[in-house]
Amino acid sequence: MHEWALAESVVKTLKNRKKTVFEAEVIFGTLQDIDEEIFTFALKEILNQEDFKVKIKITKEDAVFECLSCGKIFDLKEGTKDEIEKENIHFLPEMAKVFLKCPSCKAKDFEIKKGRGLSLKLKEK
Amino acid sequence: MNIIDPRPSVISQRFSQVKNIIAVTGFKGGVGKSGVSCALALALTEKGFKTGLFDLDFSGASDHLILGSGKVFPREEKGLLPPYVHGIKFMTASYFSSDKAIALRGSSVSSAIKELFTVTIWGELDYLIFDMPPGVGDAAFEVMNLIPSAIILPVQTPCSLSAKVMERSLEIYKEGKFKVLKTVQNMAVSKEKGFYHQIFYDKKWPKAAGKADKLIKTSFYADTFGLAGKLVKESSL
Ligand SMILES: Nc1ncnc2c1ncn2[C@@H]1O[C@H](COP(=O)(O)OP(=O)(O)OP(=O)(O)O)[C@@H](O)[C@H]1O
Ligand SMILES: [Mg+2]
Ligand SMILES: [Zn+2]
Repeated sequence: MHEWALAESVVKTLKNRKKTVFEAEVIFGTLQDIDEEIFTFALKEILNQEDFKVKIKITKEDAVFECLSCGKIFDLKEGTKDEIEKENIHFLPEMAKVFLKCPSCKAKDFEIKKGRGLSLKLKEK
Repeated sequence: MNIIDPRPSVISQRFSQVKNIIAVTGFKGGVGKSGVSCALALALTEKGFKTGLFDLDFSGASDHLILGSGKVFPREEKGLLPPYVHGIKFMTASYFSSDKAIALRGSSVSSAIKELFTVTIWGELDYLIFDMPPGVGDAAFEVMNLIPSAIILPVQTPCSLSAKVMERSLEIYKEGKFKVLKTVQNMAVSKEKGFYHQIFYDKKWPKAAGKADKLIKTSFYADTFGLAGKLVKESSL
């Protein structure tokens, strides 16, 4: 349900730019694993209280990591299976650095290149 | 097409019912920022104020150990509601690390702080204490960019490098138009003038870590209680 707080940030951003935005793409990075159903419900509810309309679509972006120690590029297939760790990453995606490691050299020093969490792509006048 | 991070847009709203935000800072490590933050939060709570504490030292999180917060976790509603620890609404990245060490590079620190600023629902508070990591780094910049109402409370020890270095780091906040209070001297050994407040060296303080009932019986706590009184007077002006 903390998706609600994230949906609020999307609506607030759109509201701040309501004069120019006509289309928005909400991108979910797969690392954060946002619940699309809850998010969409929250988004609709919050938008209903606003006086502007924007076309919104939701897309997903796969998480991609780059090891800063050996250069290996890897993805969530190498991720954690532990439910609590997954939930911790869901609340705070940077915790990936605590629970995941480079599949090649085992380093925890990697960069989240793509697919971390919520981002917004806007088409503006 | 431009890609935007939507999170900062709601952050000021998240703190809109917080009357006073006090960022406990210090140029050096180990001067007592975390101890002062925790004791200050306990003291303000004891005085009857609605108080929150946010450990913004994600890599060196220690407030949960000082307070002995045990196995609490935020409640998930339309965001994350910080659990009460000894009456304090308490938020820390350590909830999410399953007792493992958190090692983060700068850009990750910034993003993680933005995330918790975005999703944490503080509600109504009289005082919110930020326990800052040492120096003026990523956490400090996030606070400066996102929390313009924060009041800076600097802590130093008698043996802190030099007062000059501290002064220089405080200039950064002053240039950003932040209210910077006079320095708190921690681990004081003798009465000195010129400080906002003095907290004396107390060998019982480190031993009481993790046990709130013991913490509040120390002279460190009594001294910090005095500091809390001054801050309350300050903020009612
Ligand atoms: N007044 C005091 N008397 C005795 N010991 C103290 C006092 N203040 C702090 N200490 C001890 O000094 C150590 C460092 O304190 P603390 O963790 O609060 O500092 P800090 O500035 O938050 O450190 P860091 O920069 O690592 O975050 C702790 O072991 C603490 O118990
Ligand atoms: Mg500390
Ligand atoms: Zn590697």
